[in-house]
Amino acid sequence: MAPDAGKELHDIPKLYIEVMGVRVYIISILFIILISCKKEEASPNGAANLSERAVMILNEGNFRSANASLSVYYPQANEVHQDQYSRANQGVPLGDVAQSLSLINGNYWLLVNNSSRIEVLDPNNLQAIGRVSGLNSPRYCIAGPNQKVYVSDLYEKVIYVIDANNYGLSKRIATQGWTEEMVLLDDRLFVCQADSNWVLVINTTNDSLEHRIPTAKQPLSMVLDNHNMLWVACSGGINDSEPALMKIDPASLSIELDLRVPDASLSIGDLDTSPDGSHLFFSMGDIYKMNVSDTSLPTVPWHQNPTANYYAMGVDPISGEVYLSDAIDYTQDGIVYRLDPDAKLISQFKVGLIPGFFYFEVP
Amino acid sequence: MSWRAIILILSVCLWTKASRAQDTIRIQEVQVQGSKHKQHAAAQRIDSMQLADPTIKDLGAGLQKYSHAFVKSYGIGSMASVSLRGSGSAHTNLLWNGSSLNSNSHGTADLSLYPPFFTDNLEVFYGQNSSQFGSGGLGGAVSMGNEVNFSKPQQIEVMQRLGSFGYRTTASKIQLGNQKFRSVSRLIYSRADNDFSYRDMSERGFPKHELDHADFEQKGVMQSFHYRPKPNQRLDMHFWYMDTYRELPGMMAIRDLEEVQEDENFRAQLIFHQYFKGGKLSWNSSLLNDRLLYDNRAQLNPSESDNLSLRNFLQAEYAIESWSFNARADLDWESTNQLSFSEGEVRRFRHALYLQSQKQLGKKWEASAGLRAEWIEEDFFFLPELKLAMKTANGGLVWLLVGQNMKYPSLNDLYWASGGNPDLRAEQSKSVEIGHSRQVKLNSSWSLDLRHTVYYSRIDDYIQWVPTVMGFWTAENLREVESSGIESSLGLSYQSKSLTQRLTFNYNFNRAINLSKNHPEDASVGKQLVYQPRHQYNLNSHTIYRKVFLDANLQFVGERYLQSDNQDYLPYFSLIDLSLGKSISMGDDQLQLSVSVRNLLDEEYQAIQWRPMPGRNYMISLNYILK
Repeated sequence: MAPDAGKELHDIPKLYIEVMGVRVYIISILFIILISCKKEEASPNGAANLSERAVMILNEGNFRSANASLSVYYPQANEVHQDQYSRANQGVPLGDVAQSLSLINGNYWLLVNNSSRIEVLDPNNLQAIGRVSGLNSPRYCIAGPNQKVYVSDLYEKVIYVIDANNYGLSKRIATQGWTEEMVLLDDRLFVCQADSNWVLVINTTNDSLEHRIPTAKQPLSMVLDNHNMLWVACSGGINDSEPALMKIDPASLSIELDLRVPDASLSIGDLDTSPDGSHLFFSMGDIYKMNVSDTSLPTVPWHQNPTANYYAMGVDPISGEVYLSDAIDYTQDGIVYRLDPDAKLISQFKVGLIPGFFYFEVP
Repeated sequence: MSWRAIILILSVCLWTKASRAQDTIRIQEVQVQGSKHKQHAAAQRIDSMQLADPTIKDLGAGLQKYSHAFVKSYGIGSMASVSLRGSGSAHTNLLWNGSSLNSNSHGTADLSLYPPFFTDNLEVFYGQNSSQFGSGGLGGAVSMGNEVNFSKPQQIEVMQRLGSFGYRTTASKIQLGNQKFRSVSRLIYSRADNDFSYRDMSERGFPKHELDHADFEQKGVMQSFHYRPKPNQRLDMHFWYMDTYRELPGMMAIRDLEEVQEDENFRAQLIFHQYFKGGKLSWNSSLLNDRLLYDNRAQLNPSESDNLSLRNFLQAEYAIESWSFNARADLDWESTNQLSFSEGEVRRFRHALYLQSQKQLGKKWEASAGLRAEWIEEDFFFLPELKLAMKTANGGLVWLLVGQNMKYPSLNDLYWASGGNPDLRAEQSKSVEIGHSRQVKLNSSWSLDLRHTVYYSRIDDYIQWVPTVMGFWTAENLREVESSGIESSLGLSYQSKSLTQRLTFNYNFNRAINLSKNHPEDASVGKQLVYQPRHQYNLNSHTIYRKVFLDANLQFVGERYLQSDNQDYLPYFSLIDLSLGKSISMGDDQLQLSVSVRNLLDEEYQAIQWRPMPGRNYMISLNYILK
């Protein structure tokens, strides 16, 4: 027997224990590996029933995350269907930052801001039937005369003119800055130019810029009331200027009313009207309602909820119900609160990430 | 997928085990410098063999492959940030010879900018174990070190790598001098087109596209001088310049981005060591200048930031009988100049004092207490820690570590125009860990290293950027976050005359959850933080057989949630890399050749949602060492 044989024999139980210990370790790790592999599961959301009147809710998603989505809500059934664009289009994502939606020539034009494109959807099944590309950062679009569609843009310093038939770019109207919401009245297109504090007036017969109306800082939102007067909400910028609500006569292009908010930390936005156009709704921290004949801003909110983190508002043009979106922490699915015209909560429901725009179907 | 990968790695091990042949040495000299105060630290060392892995293009890739770190990479050539123990990217300090390289402005470090070739020694200090280097490492610290060996012969090393997608790197390391003075010069030039093809999952029909606008070019030089005026003194000087140009590629669904980023970094460091009986006194002064130019041609105006830091510390280490002491005083000055600050330039001072004493208690026990006092502007922090360690009967070590740490807001958090919040509080953490390590010599050929740590930490006043109704984002102390988990490492080595085999395995489980409810409908309470995998592991096999080596590596990253309510997630992925090489002696000189395959199984995956990653790709590496 070799001199160390006895020692080696003595070491066998110890070695056995060590090896067994390693085996237990490896088995434990393999078990952990097994449980750590989780397969993707199908989404439980069903396809939308588009025969009912619906509210389209664009969930903006996080910037540079391409996680925008489209939720479809049926007020009558109080039923919501999530992620309907992907569901109708082979599972592909909607894109990065869903901004706004308009009905043009019987189709939905869905502007995907940071994906630099407009998806044209069949409203019957939400399948994409066309695309407007070659844009920079589209914000809103509006149908004009002669199959023209006007598109505002965050960075490109133009209003694009798109041919609604072939989705091609037919003209670029120079604007000098960031353009937002638009209103068309007769042959005039009114455009908020946010970074220059102007409302631009574009003649739609020759697509030329014919006038600029100076406003308070950062005009973003714009509506027409029942007297065809133009109301413009100016956010006031970032804590450095008074926000304002302005009334403009679209015929004379003069400012009829300039209601300033003496608190630069506030912001006015999400301007909308009641179905008959007699009242304005807007957000200013809380939600306010104002008769269009009033000459001062309301002092009492129409609705407030200090715990909510409101992000967008829309007024149903048929029912007059007000839809408010709550982004919660901007990194989880948001909530929509549906209020009746007396500000009572009818229902609330979950939608996608950062719900930022409402489109109400009109029969 | 994961099982296939494991079987493949184990097959490689079996193949090599079955082979019997002469031993050879591929790696260069590994210098291990121990510190008594680091004995119980949960430090994980990425050794020089792993740093020389030809498939590693940057530090981020190295850490993902060989440590417990989770590296959040935005794609090939794009930013890569590291997360330790479920913490955020700003909660890991990146150290260069003890000085922090984290950006003054955003508080993080982009690991894709650091080629491993400029580092001799890479260590990861998890959790509270990083406190000896400074505050802020709530997740831990990654430490790069430049070492010198005065007795090593003079040599010139030239490295050339060629790979798929237009990747090529030329690097050189020249070591000259004698036993008193050494000069080490490193040069690197690296570029890549990164024009790999991928399936675009954001387009109907999933068409194939080629990644566009993804060029990468990096030039760098590091000059180090090491001087020993006396046998007990050493003076180190390092000068480091890097210039990195990157086109930031678009992502699926946003392919037309035309972003460009240029980073220019200049660093100078002076280190003096005075050795005396039982201890060492060190002085370290670093001048760090990081310039970043970002240009998004299609949209925003270019932005530029200029960070300048002067970091100094004096450190004393002393041991006498059963006691040992460690003291470090830091004096830092930081400034950032960028248009995004309303005042243009912002400056601040940071001072800190760290004291630690350690006592042997009999043959088995060891206790240590540490204390960090830190002053930043008007704020003062007092951060204690306590360690207790015990040697087990079978030669293992068990330890308990409890402590407090804090992360002061970055200058962007505080002063960014439209969103910076000067009222922010520092993020505060409390942590505890229990660890066990053991080295076992199974027999004359086999040995085993085991290391396991169970940890828990809680971060209060977690800073988060959130949008406001005004349309911009702002920083707020919003959340409380709890992180707990297990880190487990296994190293199995076989050594004989005929074969060297080493198998390492790192697994971590991390549960990083939000505790705070800031909204009545907040569904994120108790949910895993976004982009924090619960499970992650890597398995590495390194085999040397008759001047031939074979490396096999498997990385697994579990699913990562994309939303704070955990409603959406990215699926797990596993990657396999293989390298086969040979060392050829040419007199005193040595030539090493290797071929590598990365992502062997051509896994289609996304590390960040909608960011394409390359499929199977190849690399040839050549190292020539002239002595």
